[in-house]
Amino acid sequence: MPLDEIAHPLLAKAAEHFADGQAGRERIRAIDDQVLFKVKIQRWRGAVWVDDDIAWLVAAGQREDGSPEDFYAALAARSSAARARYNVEHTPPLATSAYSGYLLPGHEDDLRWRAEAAARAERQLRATVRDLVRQSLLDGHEHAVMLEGAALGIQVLADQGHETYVAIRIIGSVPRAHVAVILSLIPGCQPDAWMSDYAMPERAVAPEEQIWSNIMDPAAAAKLLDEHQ
Amino acid sequence: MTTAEHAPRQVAVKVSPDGDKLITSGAHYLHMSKKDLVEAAVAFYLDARREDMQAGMRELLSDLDGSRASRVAMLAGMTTAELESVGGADEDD
Repeated sequence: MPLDEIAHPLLAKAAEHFADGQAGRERIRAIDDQVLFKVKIQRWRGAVWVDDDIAWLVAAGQREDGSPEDFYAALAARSSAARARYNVEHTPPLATSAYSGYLLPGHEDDLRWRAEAAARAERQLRATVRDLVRQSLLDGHEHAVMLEGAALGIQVLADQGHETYVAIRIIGSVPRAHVAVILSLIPGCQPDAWMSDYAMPERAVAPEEQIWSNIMDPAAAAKLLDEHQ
Repeated sequence: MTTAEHAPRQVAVKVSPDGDKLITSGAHYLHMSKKDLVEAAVAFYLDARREDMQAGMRELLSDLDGSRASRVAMLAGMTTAELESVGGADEDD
């Protein structure tokens, strides 16, 4: 399950609080080797580490007033013990009183975060592309949407008795990998038959505009329309 | 009575002194006007670059096998093996 879809009050609170750049942040003072912030809701307590505007909830537990089991007390004790172990194994030793590096996201966490962001982007692209193709199949006009600052337009010209032509217009700075995924999502097109154009018959191509065209299998077009009905 | 047709409007393009020297030499070498050389060269260059762009896109598209995992991996800038190592992508999603 994607982490941002897990329904937990602490995750929801951390996501909401750290999305707001103006919201106050309270540092966990016992942790002095990294800057970790507190996040609290109900009895839940957490430690948040912010990297490149991404807030990672790196540890969580519950409040237990006056008890060594209290989340922040336990975190301080664990980090102090981790510092002692670190200093036995490493030279030079840490000058801080805590070591919390073991809590921070690693390569796998980074991969997982990127994979989840990509999965969300793919889901949105797939639905958008199919919707635009379907709308254009119905009226022959170009249909367009804005996607994260770039415009994506699709026009399908289904000429009865002839070939079905599809043109993709993208305006804006879009990574080539995203363009490839968009083209791959157009149904009924040969992947090696996409053509790019640097001019339009009736006008010049705009700055940061790219146009790709292909022939679409009419059976795939009909199937797309049938699926919607 | 005849009707005089207007010649299409010409547009000046600024080039560097070195570029102008190259265009002048090239036009003499190929026995053509500077205007015709520039227009032919630009069309030739754009066609060549278009081929490059299409070849690059074909290469990217060849990495996509129709699976959701291949699309997600490409969007994430990782291999499908890396994607698989962190849970993969649900094909039915």
